[in-house]
Amino acid sequence: MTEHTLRDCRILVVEDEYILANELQIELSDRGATVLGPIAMLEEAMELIDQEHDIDAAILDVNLDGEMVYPAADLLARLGVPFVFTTGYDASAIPPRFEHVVRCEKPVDMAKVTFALGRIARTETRQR
Amino acid sequence: MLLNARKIDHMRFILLAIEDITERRRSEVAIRASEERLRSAAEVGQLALWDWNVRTGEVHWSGEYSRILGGDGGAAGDEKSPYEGLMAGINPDDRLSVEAALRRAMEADEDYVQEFRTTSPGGSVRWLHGRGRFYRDEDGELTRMLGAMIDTTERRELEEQQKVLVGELQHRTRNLMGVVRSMADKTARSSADLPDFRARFRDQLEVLARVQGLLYRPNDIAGVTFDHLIRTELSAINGSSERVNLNGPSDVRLRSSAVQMLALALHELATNAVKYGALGQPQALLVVNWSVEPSEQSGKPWLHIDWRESGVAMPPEDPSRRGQGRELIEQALPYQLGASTSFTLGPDGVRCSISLPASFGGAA
Repeated sequence: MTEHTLRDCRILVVEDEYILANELQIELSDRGATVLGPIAMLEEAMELIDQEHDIDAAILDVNLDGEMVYPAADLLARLGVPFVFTTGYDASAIPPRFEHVVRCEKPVDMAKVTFALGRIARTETRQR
Repeated sequence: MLLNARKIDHMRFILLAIEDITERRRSEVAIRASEERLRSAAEVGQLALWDWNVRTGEVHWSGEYSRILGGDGGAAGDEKSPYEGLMAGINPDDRLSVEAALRRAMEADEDYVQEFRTTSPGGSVRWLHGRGRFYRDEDGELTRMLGAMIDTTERRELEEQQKVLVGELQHRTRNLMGVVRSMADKTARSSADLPDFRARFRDQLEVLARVQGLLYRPNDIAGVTFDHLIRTELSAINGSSERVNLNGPSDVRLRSSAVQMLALALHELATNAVKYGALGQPQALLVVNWSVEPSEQSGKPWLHIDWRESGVAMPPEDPSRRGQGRELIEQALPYQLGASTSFTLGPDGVRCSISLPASFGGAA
């Protein structure tokens, strides 16, 4: 499983539900990751992405209290930061430009999230 | 009677023809009445009718079609134009499929049934549902096509809304399942034993169930008021009213996303008050005041809630006891609702204040 450990990975967590954000934070930390955030609101997520230049991967809740997370996803894509979505929506609700993005359906399976993040996270980090 | 007289000069007499036209007149009246009935029915039913002479290519259509296309609501009369003129009203994106469907119906001798868009000269797009049938003469040659169209724009808009709602419901349900699972994990970690876990977890599920009940009342889409929420939570734990004093406006609506978290927080405060505080001691008092004031920074309205217990003989504090409730108030509310909160154990009771952005008029 070493290829999927998140040791020393800096993972941005964007999730508006406190209880879920808290769970992600604990679980990701337990797997060795450094959690950036968690962040509940789109605007703050955009600010953090702007300022933080060292993000290895991100986990984005699609709906942030009624606002769609897509602007943050676009920004991450421009910066070359890989990300996964967590969502309660059907696949058809995701815009086509994100169809290649891994979707972790809620309630999220932490093993699946970790696996997905471990696979996409920028590899140079784990060689540091 | 119809009297026809003609003088024929060279014959020196008058030719008189008398004809009984009672039947003809009667049938003319009947035809007019029938036409009138059809016209009224089409108008009331907002049916746009067309009659396409396949041989000449000319199409007659009723004023309703012009009304739908023009979108002006004016009562335009019947019109006619070449086939191409009628096609011009159809949205360019749908024109090919309309023509293909017409051809299919024509070749297969089936009724034409299709939904398509029209575009008015002003650019507004309407959806129409059309049905039509081709007619042939005795030799089997196509003569005309008759049909009717009805404006389905509103129905389609409602269908779209419904799709969004179903998606939204799915999103909320799955989110809620995630919340329930995390809650179970969290409660399990802080429970003394299985009976303790069971009691606490059931309690939390009941709060969530009450919140869902408040959120999805079909006749009250305006949203849940704070007043309603706090009364619901207090009555659920039998917070007896003589020791409770509630003061605040009754029309403060909460965003639906705020209701769940706030309900959980109020429930924690209330159950703790029953166990250790004002709701469990006859001499004690609980006062909840709330008000809406514009925020100092943005000027937008904020709801300020002040929960104050007094006259409580404070039990020796066990910090683990209030852990989950405090976390909700001190961490979850600020994180999720952008609230500012404080929680203090005073000498004679708990004091908790919660301020969060408010919304009016049922914005969800």
